Formats: sequence, C-alpha cells, structure tokens
Amino acid sequence: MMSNRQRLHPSAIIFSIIKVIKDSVFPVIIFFITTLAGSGLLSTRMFWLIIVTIAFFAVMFIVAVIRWYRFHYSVEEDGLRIEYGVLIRNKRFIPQERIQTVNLTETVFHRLFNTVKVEIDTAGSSLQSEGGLTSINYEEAQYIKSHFSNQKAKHTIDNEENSADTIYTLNMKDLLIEASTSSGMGVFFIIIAGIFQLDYMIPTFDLLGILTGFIESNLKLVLFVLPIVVVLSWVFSVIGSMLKNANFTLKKEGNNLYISRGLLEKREIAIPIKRIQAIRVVEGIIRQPFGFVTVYVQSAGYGNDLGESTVLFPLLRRKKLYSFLESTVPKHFRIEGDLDRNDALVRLPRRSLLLKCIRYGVPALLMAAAMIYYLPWGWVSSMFVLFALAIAYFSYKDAGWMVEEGNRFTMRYRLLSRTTIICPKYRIQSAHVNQSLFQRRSRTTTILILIAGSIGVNTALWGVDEQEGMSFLHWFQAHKTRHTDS
Amino acid sequence: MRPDPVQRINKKALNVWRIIGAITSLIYWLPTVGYILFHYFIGFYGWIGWLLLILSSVLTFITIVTIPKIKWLRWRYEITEHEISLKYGVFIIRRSIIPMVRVQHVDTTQGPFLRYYGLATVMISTAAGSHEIPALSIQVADEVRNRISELARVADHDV
Repeated sequence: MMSNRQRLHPSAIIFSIIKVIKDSVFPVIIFFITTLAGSGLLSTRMFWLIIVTIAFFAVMFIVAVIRWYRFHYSVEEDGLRIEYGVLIRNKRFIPQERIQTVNLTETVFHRLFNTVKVEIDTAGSSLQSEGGLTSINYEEAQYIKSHFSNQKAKHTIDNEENSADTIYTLNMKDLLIEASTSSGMGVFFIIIAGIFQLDYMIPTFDLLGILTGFIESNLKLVLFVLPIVVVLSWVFSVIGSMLKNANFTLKKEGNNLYISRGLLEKREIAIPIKRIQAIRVVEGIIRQPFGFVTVYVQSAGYGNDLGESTVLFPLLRRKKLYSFLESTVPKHFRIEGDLDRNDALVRLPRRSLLLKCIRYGVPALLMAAAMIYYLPWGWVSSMFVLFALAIAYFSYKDAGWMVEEGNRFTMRYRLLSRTTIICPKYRIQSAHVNQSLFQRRSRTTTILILIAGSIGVNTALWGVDEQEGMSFLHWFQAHKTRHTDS
Repeated sequence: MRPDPVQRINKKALNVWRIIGAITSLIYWLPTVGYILFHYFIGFYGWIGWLLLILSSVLTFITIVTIPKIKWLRWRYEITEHEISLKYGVFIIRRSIIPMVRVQHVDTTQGPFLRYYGLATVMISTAAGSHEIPALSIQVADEVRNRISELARVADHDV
C-alpha cells in the first residue's frame, strides 16, 4: 500500500499553533504586565494591545492553515517525497537509503486525535522541519515506519581487531597544565585591545584619556588593585577549567569511544567510532613549545544532532600522539610519521610567503598607521606589523596537505595555533578550490574541504599552488569501481 | 587537468540578477542622497557630492550590468555518474566537487523573482551543508533534480 500525495492530519494545524503560542507566551505576558502596570486595564493602550495580539494569532492561524494546506507527502517504494512551502515551493525526495531511523512520538494531544508525530532522521543534517511529519494517523505512521525500517543502510565493516579496552586519563599535573595554558586568557587581551580601538573610533569621547586620568589620580590604588584583579580572574578561569576537565577519562570499548569528565557537573559522551568524521590536532601557541597537543574529534550526529566537535583528549604530549591515535581511532584518522619533515606534506610555493606577508601585513599596516595617528604611543603599532608578519611567516611554514595510501587526507594550517586535520576521503563531503582576483595573478588558490558536523571550523588552506590545487581536486574526483572502505 | 564543467545555467538568470542588482544598488545611493540633502541645507565641500554621485553611478552600473553578465558567463555545472561539478563566482572563482555518494537530498526552490521567469534553483545537500545551482528553467531544474536523485541512490554509500 503506497500512498498518494497526502496532507498531514488536520490536527497538525493545531500543533503548529500550539508551538507558536508556546514560543510567544513569554513576551506576550511581559507586554500585558507592563501595559497593565503602566496604563491600566481599561486604557486605550491595553485595548490596542489586545487587538494586536488577537490579530497576531489570527495571522498565525491563517499561516498555519496555509502551511498545512501546502504540505504534501507521499510514501513511495524507495523513499519519501515531500512538498512544502508557502511563498517558496520546495520539493524534496528522501531516498530509502538515507533514512537512518524513523521515530514515532506522541503527546497527549496526539492521543486525542489518534495520531503520532513521525520523525525521519538522516545522517548529518537535521530535517526536523521538513522530514518531520507533525501529525499523522497512527496506522499510517506505523506503515511508514515499517516500510522504511525494512531496508536499513549497509553496515560498514569494522576492520579494527583491537577490541581490548584502551583507557586514557588526565592526571592531576596535566589537568593543571591544561587549565593554566588554555587560551581563555586571550579574551582579556582582546578586551584591552578593544579599548584602544574604541578610543580610536570615538576620539571626542577620549576613553583612553579618561582612563589614564583616572589611573593617574588614583595611581596607588590602581597599581595595587589591577594586578590583583588580573591574577584573580586568571585563577578563577583556571579553577573553572580544572573543574570542567577533572577526571577526564577516554575509553575505547567495542565500537565506541566513551568520554567522561567533570567534577561538579559530570558529563558523559559516547561517540560511535563509525560516526567519526575527522580528527583535529591543535597545538596552541602557548602549548606548542612545550610539546603539548589537544585532540578533537568531529563526529556526525544521529538524527537531530548536527554533529559536533568534541575534545577527545585535552592535553597530550606530542610524542605520545601517534600511539594515542593508533589505539583509539581507525587507520584513516591517524598521523603516521613526522609531519614536521619538509617533504612529508605538500607545501606552499615560495611566492605564497610573500603573498601571505601582503595579505596579513597590509591590513596591519593600515591599522598601525591609524593608531600612530590617534594614539600617543604610536610605536606600539609597529609591533602590530611585526606580529602580522610573524603570523604570515609561520602560517606559510606550517601549511601543507597530503594524501596517503590514496585515501587518508591530512591538512595542516596555522593562524595562531597549528591545526592538523586528518580524515579519510570518504568523510570529505565536498571539495573546493577557490581563486580570488588577487590569487589569480600569482597562480595560487585556496583548497577547502567540507566535513560533516564542522560548521565553523575552517578547513581551508590559502596559498596553494594552482597546479597542486588542481591535482588535489583531481585526486578527489578519482573513483574506484567499488568502495571497500570502512 | 580536468576541463571545466560544461553546462551553463539559464540565460534568464541575467534578468533576475539584474533586478536584484537594481534593488541592491539603491543602497549605494543612500550616502549620495544623504550627502546631497546635507549639502543642500548646510552646504560645504560641494565636490564630495559630485564624487559620491559618480561613485554611486559607477557602482550601480557594475551591479546591474557587469556583474550579472560575468556571473552568468562563468556559472557552469556538470552532473556525471560520480559527481556534481560546479564552477562559479565573479571576484573569487570557485570550483566545487560534490561526490554523488555524499548527496543526501536534492531540492528545487523558487523565490518570487525566479518564479516570474519560470526558473528554479536546485539545492544539493550533503551531510556538511548545501550547494546550489541557481536559475535553471523549471523543466531543466526538475530534470537535474531527478537525475541527481537517481544517481545518488545508485551510488555506493556508507553514511
């Protein structure tokens, strides 16, 4: 029994209205209270407020009806087809194979109408608003569920024989180191820099002048208090960090990685190894000289979870990194060999160094020029330029990418901290090579990869040679006749 | 080196982009008009007004005439059995490869402007985000959508 184009059960209208009410109850109540207090129950203001509220809900009702009217779904042999949208018409087809789970949930209201809510979860993105059928007749829902559950996605073969438990814990000493070297302090300096910027932008206000005046007149007090404030805030952030990461334990058991941490607030996360999208190794600017790294794991979620980037281990010695990765993650996520060697990764061409200097140096120069003009201590701004050039140099030196065994992709880049990303080719959702006008003349490009669950993590490399960029794309396009990866 | 993708998008895209460009360029005129009013009532530095006028005109011309044309000339796409290949961009040329295996679902959408010209945009979603092919005729858009949908299901996948 396959269904034709159908609409949701009319009760869906009620459900969306309930949702709107739920979302707007709080502000509406606030409005009413303030109007009541301010103008009274029988005032004209109150009158208008009531009118507006009624109008608002009337509009919401109409919109809900239209939305219900426009929403169609049909259960087909090999997938679910949906059409929706009020102003913009959207058609979507969710193939059988993409459907991970079909969840049926019901609320009290659902029982009234003998309906349920059907949620269809696919890997990666959350389709709540479209793949979710808010209210469907119970029998129909059961049918949908069984229809799609019959053919589950193929299981990938886990070829890691290492089934023994592996446990990594963070000891006291490392906990302390982690807490004290974390980049939280950076915020403090940004605030200071912000004050400088503010003064530049509002010269008449002369924030800095006021500040210096205040400092001068209360010099002793400030000199006494300020360091204490700084130290205290640092101590608090260290304590907070320690509480968060106390008893950090990473355990590999079966097909999952289990992470637990926290003292006051205990958190436990299970990450299915099969859902790992990529591993990120970050060497912060303070930690790197001491040989410490932080490992993050990027995983794709099930259903509503958009996937996340979680700390796999907060502080690890670089020397132990290889064996750590070997005992926790599958082959395609590991670093093998020394990446610092010049010939390990495909590096940026020489001219990219100059280009990066321009790219970072020019804005810094402009900022410095502005600062010299406005600030009394203009020479500080020249440090700015030097800083920018240093960043340019190190970001050039550390940048690179490589492909091993035709499958494992590694990319390393640096802005302040050095980040290395490792993932197998099949976890790269799409690959891009971009070239700006500026890059066109120098025959350089930017290569970029998209990985599931990493919105906001910038996996791009700027300044890659044009030919290399195309060979990267070429590698990505190459396909085997059968995928036998896991 | 692989050649660029072949297919072009619908020519009427130009119209849509021009209209959108016209609307956007109104913003460029704000400072100019603002300054002219300012100059009218208070009035000094008249030459700035002329400068702004020229600037807005140039920007408007570029937004309505030049950029849509370049954008249209550059936009290419190609659907093969194994991947979707895109090339687009005005100031930054972007090349994208989306393996068919990674495609989760395909939609077609039409905003009001597109609908007026009988065009639609194809949106391809992967686990990491969406990509789009703008302004294809409805018929072509549907074909493309169906084709990608077909190919995506046939392709071997693991997530």
